[in-house]
Amino acid sequence: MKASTSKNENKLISILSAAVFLLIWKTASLRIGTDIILPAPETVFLRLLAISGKPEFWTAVGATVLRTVYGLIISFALGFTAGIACGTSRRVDAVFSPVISIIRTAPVMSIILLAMIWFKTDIVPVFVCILMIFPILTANVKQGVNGVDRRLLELAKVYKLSRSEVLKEITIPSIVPFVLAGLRSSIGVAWKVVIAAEVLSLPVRSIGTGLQFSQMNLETAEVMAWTVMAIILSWISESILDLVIKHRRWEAVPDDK
Amino acid sequence: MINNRISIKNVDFMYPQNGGENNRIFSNFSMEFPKSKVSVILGPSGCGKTTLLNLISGLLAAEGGTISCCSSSEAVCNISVLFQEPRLLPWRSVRQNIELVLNKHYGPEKSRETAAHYLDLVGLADFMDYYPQSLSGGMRQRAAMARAFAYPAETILMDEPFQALDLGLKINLTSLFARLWVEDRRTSIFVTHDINEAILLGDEIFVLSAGRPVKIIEHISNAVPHKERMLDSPESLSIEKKLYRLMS
Repeated sequence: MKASTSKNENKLISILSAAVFLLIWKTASLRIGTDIILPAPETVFLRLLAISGKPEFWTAVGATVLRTVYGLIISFALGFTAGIACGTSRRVDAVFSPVISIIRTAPVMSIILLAMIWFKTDIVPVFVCILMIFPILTANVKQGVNGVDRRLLELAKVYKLSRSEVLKEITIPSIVPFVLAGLRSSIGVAWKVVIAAEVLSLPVRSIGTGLQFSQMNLETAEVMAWTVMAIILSWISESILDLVIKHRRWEAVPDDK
Repeated sequence: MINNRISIKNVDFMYPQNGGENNRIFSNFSMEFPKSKVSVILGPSGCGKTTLLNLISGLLAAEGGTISCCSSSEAVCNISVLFQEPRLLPWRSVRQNIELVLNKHYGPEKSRETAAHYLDLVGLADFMDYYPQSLSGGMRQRAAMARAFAYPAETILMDEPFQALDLGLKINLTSLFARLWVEDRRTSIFVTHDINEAILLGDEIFVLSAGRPVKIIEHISNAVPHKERMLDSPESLSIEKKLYRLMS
């Protein structure tokens, strides 16, 4: 009862916070008085409604969604494999660590510009997404492998579980929380990186291209409408992942002594 | 002469990180555990009891000497261990935890039946499909005990499994262990520093020294049948007195 009251209170606070944000935005737009600098919230909303009535809008959104999904899936596959390999072998870790470290610290813009030289415009955002996300997932999976409970490995040894059973029953389930945490922090980054790469590489259909053309035409309301769409997509994907995390049937709680 | 089941001969062991011969835990150490009895290893904390159990279970490798856990006709023997903590996989239900260690020996169907049977024996029939985190500490340890007994092991090793439990649960689980053990009288080695547990469960009580290298300073046999053991009986009191003197 108390928990649900507090949950409702928190929801109310969040709604109030959003309302205050919109109020500040509206006040600022009134003070500035020109839509080119800062359009009012309702102008942006109406523009979003207007552009979302066109089929090109949805093909652009669909293309960006696909690029982000491809980027995440490939990053996941690479990060999972590299993370397991680095977590289980110090030698493999020694080989991969400097490479991953270089990729991690390289400026996003440099990667985008290089990708534009190397790939077709459609591929650039996916490639940049992979290079940004795969090191995060690798680090998380590696941390998960290193954190597998030694006591469970001893148990497996005593009860003579095979290597594949240890991997399937102990290692992989142990790293699931780390993978989910990695994905949770990667999804937001993935949308940002994909759209940033699209802005620069200008594929035929993409949210980034929509943003760039709107900006070139000084359609500030449209720039913000595309931005709202990107925020909605990011929010939906994070909510789906949160649902998955919430509905896991178990928590990897430490064994009581 | 006791019919030997587990024999430790001239074993040497020290933890590499501790270095120095003064920290050698076992040096030319030998002992024998009788078949179909509960042997208790009693000694102060940190004396090397768990190390000895880990050497027997194969979790640690001795530097020298031999440890034989089964009859000569068998190449590999099965050992089950009841650890200080339940060590249940949090992502598997209690029943699945037991099935996991049984599958290789029994196949899926018999594993399921065996797991259910032992969970019933430890009073967890209604909780088989629960995940460990939904159970209390005592229930988890009972599930771990069911796993140890369900596993087709010739020997059961127990490393202070009731140490972290409160007195009521400790008494409850001690008698549960005795009930399960009587069913097939498997060779068991029980490590503890609790004198009462040693008296209630041990047929043979080995007292280890506190100093290094470890030595057996006393071996006491308790001939009273498990069901008749009472802490306030004259036999128990006499063993208790002796053990207190040795441990203090």
